[in-house]
Amino acid sequence: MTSKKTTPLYQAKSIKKYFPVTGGILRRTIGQVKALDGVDLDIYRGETISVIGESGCGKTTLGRMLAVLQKPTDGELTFDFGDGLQDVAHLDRGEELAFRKKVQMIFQDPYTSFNPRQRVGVAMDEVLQVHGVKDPEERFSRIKEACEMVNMRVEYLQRYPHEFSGGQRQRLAIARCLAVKPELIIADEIVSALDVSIQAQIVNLLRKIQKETGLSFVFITHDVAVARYVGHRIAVMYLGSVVEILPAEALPENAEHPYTIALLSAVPDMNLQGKKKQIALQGEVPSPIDAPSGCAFSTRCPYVMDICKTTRPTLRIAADGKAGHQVACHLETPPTGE
Amino acid sequence: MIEKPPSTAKLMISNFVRNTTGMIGLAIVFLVVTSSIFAVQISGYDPNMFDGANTSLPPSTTHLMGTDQLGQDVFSRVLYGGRNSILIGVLASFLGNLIGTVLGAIAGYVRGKFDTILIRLSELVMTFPQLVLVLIFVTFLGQGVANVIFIFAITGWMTTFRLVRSEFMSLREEAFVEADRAFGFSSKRIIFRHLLPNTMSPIVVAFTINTAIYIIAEAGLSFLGLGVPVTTPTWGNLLAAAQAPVVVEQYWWLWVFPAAAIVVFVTGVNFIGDGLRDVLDPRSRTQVKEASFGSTLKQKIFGSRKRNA
Amino acid sequence: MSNILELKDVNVTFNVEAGQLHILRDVSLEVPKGSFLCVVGESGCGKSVTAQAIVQLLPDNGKVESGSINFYDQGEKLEINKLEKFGSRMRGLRGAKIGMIFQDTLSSLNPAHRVGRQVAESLLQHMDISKDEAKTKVIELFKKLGIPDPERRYEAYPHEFSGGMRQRVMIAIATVCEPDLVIADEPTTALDVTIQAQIMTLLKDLQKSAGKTFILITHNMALVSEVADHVAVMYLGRVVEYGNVNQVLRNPRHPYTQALLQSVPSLAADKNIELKTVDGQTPSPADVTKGCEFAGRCPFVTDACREQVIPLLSFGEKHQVRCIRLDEKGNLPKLSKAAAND
Repeated sequence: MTSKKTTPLYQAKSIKKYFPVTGGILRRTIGQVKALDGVDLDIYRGETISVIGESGCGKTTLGRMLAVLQKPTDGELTFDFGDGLQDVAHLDRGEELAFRKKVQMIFQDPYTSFNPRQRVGVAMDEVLQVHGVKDPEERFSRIKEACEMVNMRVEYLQRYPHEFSGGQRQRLAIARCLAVKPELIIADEIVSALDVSIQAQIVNLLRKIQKETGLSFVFITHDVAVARYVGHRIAVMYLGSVVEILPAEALPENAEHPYTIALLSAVPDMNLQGKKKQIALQGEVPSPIDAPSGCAFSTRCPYVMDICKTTRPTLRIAADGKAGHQVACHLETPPTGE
Repeated sequence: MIEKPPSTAKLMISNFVRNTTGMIGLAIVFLVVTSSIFAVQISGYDPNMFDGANTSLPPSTTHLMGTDQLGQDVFSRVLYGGRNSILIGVLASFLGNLIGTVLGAIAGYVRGKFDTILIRLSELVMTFPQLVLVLIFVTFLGQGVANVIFIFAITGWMTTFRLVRSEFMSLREEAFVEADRAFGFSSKRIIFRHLLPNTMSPIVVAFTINTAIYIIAEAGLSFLGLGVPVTTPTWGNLLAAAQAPVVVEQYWWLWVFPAAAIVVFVTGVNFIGDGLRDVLDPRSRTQVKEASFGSTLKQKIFGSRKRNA
Repeated sequence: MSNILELKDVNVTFNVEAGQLHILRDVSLEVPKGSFLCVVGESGCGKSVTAQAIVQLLPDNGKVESGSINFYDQGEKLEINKLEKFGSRMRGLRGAKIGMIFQDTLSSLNPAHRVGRQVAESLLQHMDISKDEAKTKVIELFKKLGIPDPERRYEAYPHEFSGGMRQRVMIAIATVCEPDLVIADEPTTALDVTIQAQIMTLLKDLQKSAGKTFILITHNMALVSEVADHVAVMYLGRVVEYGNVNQVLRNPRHPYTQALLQSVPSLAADKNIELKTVDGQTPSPADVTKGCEFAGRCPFVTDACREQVIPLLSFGEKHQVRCIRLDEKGNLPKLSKAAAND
């Protein structure tokens, strides 16, 4: 058990993803969008890691890398199938299926994540067929089990996607993933399109499933409070890099990166008015095409020093010395805010 | 135990039955097709039988549409000619659509070099006037029903290709396709099992439109003497017989009836196309309104103003 | 303080294929001059329709069936719902006296025109000034709204702006004619939180320094807690609770308001406690029966709730709640354990 806790299930090492920017009549590459610029992330068994950040920070790209829907420009992706970490960025068709059985993904928009012309039950069944579950009885019992887990009546599976509400569809998407019995589920903004009361249902459900099945989750969201509530650990991203990784309980008081603190202070919260550290951010996120050469946050950081503009900080143990708290910042003592 | 909801096919059929335009079209097409199959029985004359005693008779109770210069019964020939014309229209349209759909689906989903080559090829074919292209092919392959079908298909797949390709290009960005890929579905399965059913409505509509176009094209081609050999009756060949000014002026029944047959059948096919579009894609009627909502809202706020440049 | 806007028993219906939908039911609101009112609720509660009704911009199939909407322009009472929808009087109000900010900034700005001109246009429309004066005024306003490099930005096109900057331009359009009342419909929903914080600070500054009145339509309770003076909570076309921000957010009385507040995790939330959820879905306005709209999802429901139109009851100083299950002190009955755990 201890070894399982200490060796990651899935490891991403200095992942880079550059998209070429073309221009001119000849469509030549004139620059690169650095969507991910060297991201390290370890995902352990039985944990939920929340990835937060604002639009354009690369969190969705990171999710797609982890699901190997796109290949990274550079870096290593290794997954533990049971006998140590293996490369998963370059798989043949058979290995890919084996990987996809272990790692599932749920998408943001519940309205388009099911084929509109396919009954949801058929859609679920098809996934199991592709993954080699030949016995129809077993497929049905697995689907039934998954539906029970998300509180969805099996009779509803006869329906078409448009006959469900957004929240129900998101539950069905979760059930479809669960039926495959994966070890890791990557959830990309799955509650952001829902009304708050429905969002609460899905959040509670995810937490329940995580507790009962011991699955690992990567929970990508822009909502810091939901991320803290769902995740065991939080990875904060800014402009293509992870700037801080911290245990969820450390939020909001013990955040150390100036960007994390600024992000937290911008989140409206009725229970914390006047109690948070305040860093008001000016301006906007720079374009990832001409990202700063040093620390990505150096152009907006109120605590910027000379070294920040030239040298990129890497993740190091945070000043509070707590296990699992890492921060990528040149400041030796964390800022206190205003 | 579990109440089974009505299937999509059943729903569509019941919607189509309620669609007046579509049903009128279907009735016309059904009538024309069956009567051309039973041409001899209905008209009571063999379309190829010469009757030297009764040449160039105007319409009468014995010969409903009169007879031609060789004494052949025009009614029988119009009905019989429908067989070949309809066969050419439907088969050519089907083949062209099949080629266009398969190529368009793959090109739109896979993109890359394959797509670039095909799109250039389709542009090349399209920049050529189709008639000129058809003439070139006819010269090489010769006349005949099969050849005409082949030529129409090979010169007419581009519209469907472009249509399907653009549909696939937008569909492949949908979240459910992304989800399919995340589940490890093969490209073949995604293209043909998941995306194709979502493109069916424009394809079906394109099929009906093309059928109508090819029937008219066959008539035009045969009129020029380049389509089906004159010995085979088609609507086009019947019209071609009316080239002489004297026929146009004096033997009006020789060209009015085949022309009317074409008009009636093509109208029927177009009606079916309209009906299918309504049934298959109810969204097509509302989309435009939603898309322009934002700007109209703003216009409402400040009222309509003079547009000073 | 005197009111700038009063809604009294406003009913709005929409004609749809299936018949008539009753979208707003007896909505009454009072907006004191210089205050910041937030209208909150989930999608389909009628909060945006309320805003549209105020400026007479309901979709063509919508109609104010009954009730009155009164706007006070320097003491002069204007009955908005009696004005002609696109008459000169109404057009003089929109933009000039009542400014509006929408969520979708991209489609609200004309992509073919320079941004500065679009802002100046509403000035030229409503005021008797020259083009040069208008330009100077707009650039000044851009500066005030924190748009960097305003002279250059004046000549730029909407697509050259980020979402946050476009929203600032929308605010510029809404406020350039110095309206007394600004209605903002989910202005920051499409924006990141740090940008949202900037925009909200801006709106709050405009309220405090320029004395403008704001109506903010939003679904975000936490945001309400940071900016609002008064709060109206809507559910399925009705205002179910109204009061000042402390009354509604610190001491919510309606079961729906309570559930809504507890369903959003706070940054300080105890992770061992489950989020409160509301069972089921918001019903469609077509399915509403005569009783309480929330009855189908309410844990406190009794037969009486389903049988009558629920009156708006007052507690304390102008704290109004539409619920008959409250006792004289305004407390809900205790739920039995079994029901609470359900």
